Amino acid sequence: MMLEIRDLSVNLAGRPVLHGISLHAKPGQITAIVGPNGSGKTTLLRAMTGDIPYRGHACLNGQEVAQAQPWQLAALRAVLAQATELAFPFTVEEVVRLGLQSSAVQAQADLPARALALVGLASYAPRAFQDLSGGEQQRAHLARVMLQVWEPVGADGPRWLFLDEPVSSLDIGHQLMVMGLARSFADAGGGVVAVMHDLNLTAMFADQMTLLHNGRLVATGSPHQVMTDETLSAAYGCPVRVNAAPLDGPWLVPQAMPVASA
Amino acid sequence: MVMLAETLPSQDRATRAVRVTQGLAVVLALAAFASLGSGATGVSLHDMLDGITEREALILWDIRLPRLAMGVLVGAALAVSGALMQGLFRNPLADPGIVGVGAGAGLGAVLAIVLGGLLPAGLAAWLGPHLVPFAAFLGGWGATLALYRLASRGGNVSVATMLLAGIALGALAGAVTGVLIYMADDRQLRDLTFWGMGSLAGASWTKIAASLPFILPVLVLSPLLARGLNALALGEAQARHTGVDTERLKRVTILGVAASAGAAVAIAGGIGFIGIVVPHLLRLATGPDHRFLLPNAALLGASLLVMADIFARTVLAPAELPIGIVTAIIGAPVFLWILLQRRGIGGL
Repeated sequence: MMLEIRDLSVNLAGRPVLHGISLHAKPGQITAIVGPNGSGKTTLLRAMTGDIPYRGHACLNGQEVAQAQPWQLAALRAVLAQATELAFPFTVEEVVRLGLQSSAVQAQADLPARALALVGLASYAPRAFQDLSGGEQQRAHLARVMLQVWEPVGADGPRWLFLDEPVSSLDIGHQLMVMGLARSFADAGGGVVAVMHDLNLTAMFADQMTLLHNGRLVATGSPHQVMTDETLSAAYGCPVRVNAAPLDGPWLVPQAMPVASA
Repeated sequence: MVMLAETLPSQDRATRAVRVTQGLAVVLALAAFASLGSGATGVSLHDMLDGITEREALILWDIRLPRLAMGVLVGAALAVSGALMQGLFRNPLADPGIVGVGAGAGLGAVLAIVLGGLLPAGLAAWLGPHLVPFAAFLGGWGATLALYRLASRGGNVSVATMLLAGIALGALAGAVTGVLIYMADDRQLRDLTFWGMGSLAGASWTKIAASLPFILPVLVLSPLLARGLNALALGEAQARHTGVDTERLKRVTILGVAASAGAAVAIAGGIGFIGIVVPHLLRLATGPDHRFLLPNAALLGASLLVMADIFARTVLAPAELPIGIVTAIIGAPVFLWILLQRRGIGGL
């Protein structure tokens, strides 16, 4: 029961975007996908979630994603996509309820309220979703997504959270809160796969990370293994230096050094 | 936590939506009585209570009842097809009449009237009175499919493209319809005139029976699409993530729009704006949840059209105002109002 990507390639509009990616993600862990802009992170996530066709294999709990029905995948995993526009004036609570699956979970009437409380929006239920700030909307969507996979482990195996830049419009307090929720989900036996921009946050929370560059997998392993000066400098095309953080994880400070010295 | 769930607003909205349903049922019943009691002959329901004469029975059964039934059917069909189309296009401005679906259905109907004689006799006989509604359904279906293809890219609908493509499709269908009318003979022209007035005046049990197989299934089954259409408001990819088979949802919704709008156009001609006014008013009252929106739209659409019809045939009595004019006078300002409200929103 894991997420297994084998030799996965994707073409978008006839242009190759991902080349032969192979990686594993285990339940109980946060697996981060990092890389510079345009490296194929979001494309990889979209292939894993069944949004776009791919060559090769993407198996979630042993099921080939491309061949699964939407409702089968929905019972297995939830996806937090990058922000989109909501078409009609639904309330926050109505949006969160869209995550409710028709399975047993539906019986528990207080779940939407609990999901909203998790993301710190308990009192927002009656408000118009469109009136919320960008960061609040993102957290409300996270509540919807958490509701969809409320039990991290179901009768048929671990459930999965796929997060596309989950902290992109959040302040540092809420960044920690959201990553903390991902951490608890993984600690309870679920699997988390997150596309991340912030390498320090990734180092703090991820168990495994995969670095992409130009649609190819450059490095994969623990943050300690992946986050080295040479690997990151080469992938991001800028000089960086990785240090040890007070909490024993690697962290980096972008260096304002002349490129020649790199 | 349980307390909280009970005080949540979607519960409020649900309660209010159910009350609106009950209220609309009463309104529709009152409108129906008013409709049966008014007409050019001046026979009122009160007259009939004292014992119904043969002439009164004839007026009631052959003129007023079919007219009422057709008003209910067409009003409900137009409102539900509008709500479905707006859910599909994720935009409150999508209306079958405005974006060319009505024109496509009209083209289908005119084709059937003018060129129906060229069909193999067996097929024509088999379709019988269903021929015109069926052709209108096909025309509306083609227009809806073409519109969706033109206006959507990667699951996102561009509203500007939708409205402009709708204008182009409507103009094209109108031009071809014009050619057909030019070709029509005298008898066909009379049929076309009757058909094209946008009126309930030609109501008959035959027409109702001809359109019922197209409209009734949509009215009864459309609430099954509600959950999917709600999720679609998040965007197509996100709807799929929550478990909705979006491809099937789109196919079925397009069929539903074409069947109900097409059949309504086939029997009543171009009656505009019901499809845009009714869902908009209901969203203001009880929110956008399609589980309540679709059934309530059927009730409000039926009530509104029956009332507009009473107005249309009493205000200038014994002459009659085409009902399309009445709905346009109410509906066009509402359309502009929605447009103005949304002017600040990106991409409308």
